[in-house]
Amino acid sequence: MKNFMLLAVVAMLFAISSVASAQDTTQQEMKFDDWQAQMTSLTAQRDSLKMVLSGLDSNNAALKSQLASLDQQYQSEMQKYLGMLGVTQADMTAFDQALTTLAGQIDSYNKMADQDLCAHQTEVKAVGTQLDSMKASKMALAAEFYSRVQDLANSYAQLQARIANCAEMAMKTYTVGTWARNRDCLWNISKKPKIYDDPWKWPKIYVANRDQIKNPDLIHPKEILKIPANGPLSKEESAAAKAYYAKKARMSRTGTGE
Amino acid sequence: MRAVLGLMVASLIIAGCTKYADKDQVQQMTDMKNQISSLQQQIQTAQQQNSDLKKQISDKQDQMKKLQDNEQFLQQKLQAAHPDTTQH
Repeated sequence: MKNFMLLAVVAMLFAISSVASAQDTTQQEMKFDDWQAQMTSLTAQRDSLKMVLSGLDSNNAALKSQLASLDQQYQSEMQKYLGMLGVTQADMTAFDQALTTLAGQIDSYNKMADQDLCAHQTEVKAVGTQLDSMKASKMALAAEFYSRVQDLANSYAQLQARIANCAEMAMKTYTVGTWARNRDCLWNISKKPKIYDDPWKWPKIYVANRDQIKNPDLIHPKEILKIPANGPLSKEESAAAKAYYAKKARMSRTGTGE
Repeated sequence: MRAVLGLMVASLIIAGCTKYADKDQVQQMTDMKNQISSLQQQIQTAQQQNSDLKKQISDKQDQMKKLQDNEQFLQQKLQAAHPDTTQH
């Protein structure tokens, strides 16, 4: 009887442990109460996230609508602006590009040495004509271009000032020889066919070289004289000649020499 | 002897009656977690979109302000260039 009882206890324990282990393997150790509690919490979290998302979606929809409305207002305002200028957006773009090209050209001419610049006078003047035509356009008054056009006009004015000196820079020079060999004096130099072919134009050389000629009767070998372009004597040159002859006359009357 | 037998039967009942989540319930929970994860991603995307839209609106407002300033500038310059005409 005792043995039977012992056997029954062992069998019972085995049965209990079998039931327990069978439940462990199939249910992955989640008790129903825990599952229920977690599901309640997860459902609340999901619902809360859905609300947040819904709020964001409607906010985004409102923002999209605001942006579309702003876009429309902007386009309308832009049409009004272009209407004031009497141009299209394409004209504005073309003007912008033309300004950029012109700025590049003016800049490159400004970087040129005087001699090179003088060699490109015609092209520089063409740029000036183009700039004038652009300045005449209403678009030159638009804020986008106004200061750029002004800056270009200033840069071009500098070019013009430099070009104005081209004639002077193109002036020929003459290196004075010796009296013994070349018979060089202002009168004789002026008489040379390659200079003026006219001795009476000597005051032109005198006035152009006043910085180095103090007395027209006295020039020195190896002096380099500027030879202005041929033409009638200017007022200043005539006055210089008159003063010279008057002084000569005075000296001959008084019999003094210098 | 009876007491021992009773104890055994009681312990067997207790062990066998604890309720666990079944496979469908576990799957339901997994689906719920996936749904939450997907919602979190959607929120992130929506927040990014929100921020982008706000920036676009701010940029457009700046553009509008600049355009209005340009209009005013042009009006003044046109007025100065042609004082007889009035711009509307």
